[in-house]
Amino acid sequence: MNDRYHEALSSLIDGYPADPGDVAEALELPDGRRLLVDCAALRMAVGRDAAEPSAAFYARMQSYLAAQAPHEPGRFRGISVRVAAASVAAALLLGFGVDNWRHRPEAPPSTTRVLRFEISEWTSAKGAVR
Amino acid sequence: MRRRFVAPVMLTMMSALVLTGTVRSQPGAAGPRRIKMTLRALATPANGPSFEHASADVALGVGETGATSFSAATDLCAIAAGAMARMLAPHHAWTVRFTLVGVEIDKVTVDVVTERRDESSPGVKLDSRHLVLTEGAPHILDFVDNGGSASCGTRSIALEVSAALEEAPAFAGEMLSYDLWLTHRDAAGREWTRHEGRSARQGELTDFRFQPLRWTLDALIPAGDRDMTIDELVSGSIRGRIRDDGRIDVSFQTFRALALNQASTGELGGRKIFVVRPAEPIRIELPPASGQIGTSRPTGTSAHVDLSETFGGHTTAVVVKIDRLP
Repeated sequence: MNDRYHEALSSLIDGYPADPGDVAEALELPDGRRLLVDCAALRMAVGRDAAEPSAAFYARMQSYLAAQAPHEPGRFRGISVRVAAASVAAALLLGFGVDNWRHRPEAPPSTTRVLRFEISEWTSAKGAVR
Repeated sequence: MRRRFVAPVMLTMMSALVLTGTVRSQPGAAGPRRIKMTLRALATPANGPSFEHASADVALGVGETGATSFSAATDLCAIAAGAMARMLAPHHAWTVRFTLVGVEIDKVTVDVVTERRDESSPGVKLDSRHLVLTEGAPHILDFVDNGGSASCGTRSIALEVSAALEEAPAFAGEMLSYDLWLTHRDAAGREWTRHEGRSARQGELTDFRFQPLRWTLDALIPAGDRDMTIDELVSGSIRGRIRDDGRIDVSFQTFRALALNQASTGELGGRKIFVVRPAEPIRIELPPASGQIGTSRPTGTSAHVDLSETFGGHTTAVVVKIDRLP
């Protein structure tokens, strides 16, 4: 599967505009369908992630933030520590998933030697010869 | 060498069992690996499946000659293998002499001379054959039918020969991994793939079958019917054997069928024999699809597909990578 199809499916799953023609052609390919399913599974795994920092972590962060920026008490209040920690966990999970996906053997190894069956060699009927 | 006799008829047989398996070496021709030639008598009862009744084998190097024998009572209820068995009752007797001419992976060349004696008729029937055998694949040498008169239920006996290579002790326990990829590329460069992995003891034949590739007809030709599908089914077998220099002898056989809905071209294929280095990928291209398939649509109308036209510019190949397992 080529990069154009990859890009189209990645954009689609991430909610960005994607060329419908590219998406249609990508989904004609078994690899394209597999990629779409993989991305959907990854997104679901990230969405389901319920990891939360402990109360002790909150307390330590609060005291750390208070010590580091006592004159800007509202700076971190717009983003809760819980959201920040969940974002970090999601990013790690996403990175792990993408890395795994990238290293799957999806393509045959490149070859330097090619053998060809000529028509004259293509004569065995299945079951007749082992 | 193995001998098997049928007990009830042993009393009618005498035992002058000698000879056979005698091997005469020919100077300077014996190779490091030997071939075991096996003769089998397959009995077929009148009302059931065939079974192996007796067998005998002889090991040969290239250039060597060896022989073995069979005897069977006329009613085929008793068989003696691996010896010049003479029976008191009327009988058939065969002496089969092999001369090993050449050995490659899945290509054993052997000259076979069969002498058949029937007690009911004088003289010897001689049959000479020059055989090229794949390993383990049988070749029928002779056939006898008793006309259905036997009390034991046996109706006929076929005498067959097969060849098997005795593995070099240094590599006998080695395992090989087979990484197999089916690739199908169209004229525009789009590629579809299937992947199979196998592992087997070196020298063993290993079967493979890829998941089918499937297209709707309209994805292949502009005026194609969206409700019709074409499947490409590729299967085969592979045998690798480690050579003394560390490279691997490979015998690769593959078959392809193209199916339009329920109709199929049938599976045709071929065999390639080659040598690779461990972990060296090699691409083996199948011939272009050709011919026609016809089938009926669900509506009852007929449909015909010209495969050369439908798959014009397409290439189907199998990429093979073989490696030694630690």
